[in-house]
Amino acid sequence: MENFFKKVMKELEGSKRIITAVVTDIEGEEISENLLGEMFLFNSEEIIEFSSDKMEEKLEKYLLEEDIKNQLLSADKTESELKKIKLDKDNQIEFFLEPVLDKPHLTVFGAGHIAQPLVKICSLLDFSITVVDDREEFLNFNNFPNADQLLTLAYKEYFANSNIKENDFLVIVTRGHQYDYQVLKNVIDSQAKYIGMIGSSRKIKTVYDKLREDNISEEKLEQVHAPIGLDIGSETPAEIAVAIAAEIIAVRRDR
Amino acid sequence: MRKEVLEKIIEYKEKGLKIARVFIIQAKSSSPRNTGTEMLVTEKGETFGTIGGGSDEKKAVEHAQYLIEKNCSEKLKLTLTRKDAAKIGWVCGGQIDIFIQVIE
Repeated sequence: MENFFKKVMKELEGSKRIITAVVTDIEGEEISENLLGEMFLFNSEEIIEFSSDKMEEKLEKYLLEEDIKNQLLSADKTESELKKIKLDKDNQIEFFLEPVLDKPHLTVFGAGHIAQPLVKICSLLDFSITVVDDREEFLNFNNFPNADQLLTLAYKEYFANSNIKENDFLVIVTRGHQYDYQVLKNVIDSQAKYIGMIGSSRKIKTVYDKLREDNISEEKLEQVHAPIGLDIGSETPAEIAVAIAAEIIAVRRDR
Repeated sequence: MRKEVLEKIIEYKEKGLKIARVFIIQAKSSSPRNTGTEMLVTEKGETFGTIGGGSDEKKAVEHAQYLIEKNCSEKLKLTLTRKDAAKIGWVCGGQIDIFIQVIE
């Protein structure tokens, strides 16, 4: 079964959502009890891999039936579910279907006074967290004890190696609008689930105008959360961090 | 299944350890979020992750060790006491079904 899990890991690197199915119960004579705990991996289009040959041999003929296959492929892509599938009139299998997820990842650009409480709060929300800044004096584990990764480098260097995916959440809180512009320009075409940028409406307009000159579409600009955070009347850095964290939760939970 | 659990399974298997993955498949309570909560158990009873702690987790770990020995996977029903339920944030006690999947 080790190879099966390695295959799952490999598929996780791809862009398609993947789901595992585990046999958790068997009713009927046709299917042997020793398939309990066996698995297969699939996405919304096809079965990718079985955990063993005996599993594949046993299930293959049933999975050829459109109806059975559709019941599986229509599984929820975000939540796990227990599903009983009738193979024929005498046989039924219960599967535990479960999406395979990478922990959502928060990247904070800028290690200033908003970033500190934001990282603290978001560490409670099951994110893995990276902070990027080129100023070593701000970026250390004293300031960010809850961060998973601190990257002391120029933003330009960061983007040379970054791979932003659909479970990435990006918060742009750098020390100046020229840096905000630089970061936003590099991430605006990414698949990130959330992009938020701090600033007054005047600063946001300055950044957006420059991006328009770069031929960035209005549609893309509208997807950026700026001004950042839910409007709860925040004043202090910690309060602003709470507003940003709340907005991130709302996006993550599709509100 | 979460990525860090997946990584841990691969790490354990590369070390040649016998393990089981224990996960909640059904939770009869007002909090469906607990479904899918998972932990790994080794043959020696070491754990990675938690399904909520308390005496029920202890029961699950012991049963997982027994099943690793037998090399078979099985469903297990656990009835949570009020106290244990409170620990994982449930107001009332309840019943959870867990599955112990031996990973050979």
